[in-house]
Amino acid sequence: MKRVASFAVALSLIVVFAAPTFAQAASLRLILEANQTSAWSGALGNYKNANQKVFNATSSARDVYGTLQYAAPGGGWVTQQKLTVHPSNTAQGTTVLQTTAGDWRVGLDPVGFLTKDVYATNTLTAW
Amino acid sequence: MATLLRFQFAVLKRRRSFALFMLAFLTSVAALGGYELYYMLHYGYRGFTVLEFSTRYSVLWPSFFLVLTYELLSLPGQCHMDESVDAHRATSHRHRLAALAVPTAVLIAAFCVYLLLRLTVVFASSMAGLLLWHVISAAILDILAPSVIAILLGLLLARKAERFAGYAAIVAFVFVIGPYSEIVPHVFSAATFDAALQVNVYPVFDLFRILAPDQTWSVSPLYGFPLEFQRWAVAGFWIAGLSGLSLPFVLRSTWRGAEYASASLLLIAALLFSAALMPSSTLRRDLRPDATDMADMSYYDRLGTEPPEQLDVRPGFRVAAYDMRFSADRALDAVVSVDLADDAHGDAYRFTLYHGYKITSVSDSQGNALTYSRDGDYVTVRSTAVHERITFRYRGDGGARIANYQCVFLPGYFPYYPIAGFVPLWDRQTHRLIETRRTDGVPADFSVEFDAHVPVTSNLPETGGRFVGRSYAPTFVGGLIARQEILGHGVVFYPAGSWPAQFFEAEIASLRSFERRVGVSRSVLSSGAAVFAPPGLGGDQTAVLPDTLFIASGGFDLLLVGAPPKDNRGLLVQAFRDLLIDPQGLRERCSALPEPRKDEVAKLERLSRSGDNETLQLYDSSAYDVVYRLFYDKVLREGEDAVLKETYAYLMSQDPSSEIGFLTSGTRKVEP
Repeated sequence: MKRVASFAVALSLIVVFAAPTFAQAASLRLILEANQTSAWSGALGNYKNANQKVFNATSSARDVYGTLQYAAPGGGWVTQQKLTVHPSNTAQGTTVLQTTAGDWRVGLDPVGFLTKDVYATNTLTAW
Repeated sequence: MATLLRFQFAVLKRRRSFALFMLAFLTSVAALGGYELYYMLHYGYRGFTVLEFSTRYSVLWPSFFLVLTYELLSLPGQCHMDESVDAHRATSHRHRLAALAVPTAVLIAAFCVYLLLRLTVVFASSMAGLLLWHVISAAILDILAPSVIAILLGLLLARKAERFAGYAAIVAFVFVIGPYSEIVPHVFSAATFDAALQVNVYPVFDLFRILAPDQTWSVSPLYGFPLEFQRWAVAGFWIAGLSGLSLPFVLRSTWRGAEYASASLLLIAALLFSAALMPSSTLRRDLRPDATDMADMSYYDRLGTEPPEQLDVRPGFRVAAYDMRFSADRALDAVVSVDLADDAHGDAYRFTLYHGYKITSVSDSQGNALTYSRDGDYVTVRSTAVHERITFRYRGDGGARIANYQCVFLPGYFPYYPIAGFVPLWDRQTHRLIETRRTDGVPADFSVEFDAHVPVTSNLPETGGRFVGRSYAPTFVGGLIARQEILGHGVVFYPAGSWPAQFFEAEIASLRSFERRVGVSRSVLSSGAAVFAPPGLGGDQTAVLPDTLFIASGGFDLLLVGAPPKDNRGLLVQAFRDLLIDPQGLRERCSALPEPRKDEVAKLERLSRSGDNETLQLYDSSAYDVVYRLFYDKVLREGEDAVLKETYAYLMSQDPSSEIGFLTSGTRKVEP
């Protein structure tokens, strides 16, 4: 029993002290496959700053929109930045800064209504 | 009439579904407004971060009033009482007026609740001076006007449409004014970016757009809610037009003036329709090809088959002084006189002026017209004679550099006035407007009169209603602005946004601290330079002029402004940032990473040197751990300060080696 309690205390300390340290910076990559019409990433939570880097493959049939959205605690998703990227190009957006830490996500959407045949990635980095 | 009114309100008692419907609506209005208040008080948000919340639900208002009005005014028909009401020609209109009284009373009550809650947010966040009239105007245009339009349409539908047709029309109306209707113009215009195949039906779509546009975008703290002249004209057109059509139903049919009144309203509607079609500078961040944040890319990358050429031709003269008169109404109206010096221009004077501004005349100091030609952004004034002064008159739209009734954003890096010589404006590599304007290091004297409907400020000092001073390229910003002296810099910011004055103090201080640590000899923020916050109009970028800095992000990004854009340095930038901002976090993360194998490093180094976009993508996705670990080893070997200075010098240099090459080459001196 003591061992379980000590483990629980140790785990709690790790969660309380180490997690915020590891949460200093995070990154995720959203991939839009050629058979998809759009894609949204999951959220990276509790960050004030974020940027997106959109890559559109040479094989893509058209441009792609990369969207960066932010949701303040208690609020909904709000678009902060939209990049249009031609095939065979990479675009790095300016870092978006908020004064309150919140959730961030990125999206990819080929230009045109319900269009496909675009292979693209959007890398979200938040810190 | 009093009896009829009593009867109408009694309907609400008898028909509980009506009463419940109204109650649900009023509760929704109070709940949304109440949540905004709670949002502000609980989380401490201010300005548009709070006020933009309920805007996205504004379609509820016209939908509710359309259904309510249609139902109330259809009742006599449903009860087969229409004929008996209409039989009394002198009084039939009173029945309909009485029926209209119910939705009108509900609208007044709901609007008062809505406005009260909004104004409470404004006053509680101490922004009454800045936002009071803006919020009231937005409430009238985005909430009250669409609701009035819905009531008028409900009246017409109740008189003209049967039940099924009436509800079909209601569904169509809600779809057309709602956020999802953009699918229709989007299908037409964005199915292809091939200019020859595009059908831009957005101008038609705009005529039905009576609710606040761009509801998924964050509200620009400089611009606020879009309240352009065009939107007022569209709302006025629908109200006047529907009033004109419905007037015969609510006026005594025996009154002879009814037809004249109706015709007058329809005439007013026609005039407002024409006004709504007039070209104007507006903020639209939807998916149209010429949307504010995409117009430049559409123009420079895709104009026909041949994109416009980017020229770089020296002027052969110097502009010693500018005398400018600007007026911002529907668009920017300008009269700009340039005083020339050191003139060796040959047979033509060459200037650069953004293509959105249409020149109406070019004249000499005597007022004589000069021959000129225009090729996109480039203006050539043909004259072999030497002129002391040339005057340009032009009007137009600068895309995201807006100047209209509610906002002015004319940054110095943007040619909103004629710049000497042909200057390239579009970077074909990054597909962005070039924001560092060539000034040849020569400032000019400026005397500028700016006539606007909003307060305007500039990096030039204002004296006697004119902005007068010496500058490389002046900036004018107007709208929901504030100006404050922070750490020796005049900072222009937008209090209704999420960046308060303290933010700039912290970011400027962190920039100075970073610069000291990496050993920067010449700061990006020169002493006394004016600082402008990002306006949030779409595509904000950090830009540096000799006497002005446009901050679009924080101190760290400012530190690396001017670094050459290299695709194979992104991971090193991240590691460098972590060492600068959070060295402890970097140490803890990197110490857990495995030691990279030599063959793995060699393979990644090969990938990173590839000029191919696909290979670089592969590299980016697999090199994170290796770059961080190599960077960490370098820090352990050489010490934090030395690595910071060396890495900064490398990132600012044109050094051809990749980030892995840099990290594995040992200590070295990199020439910036």
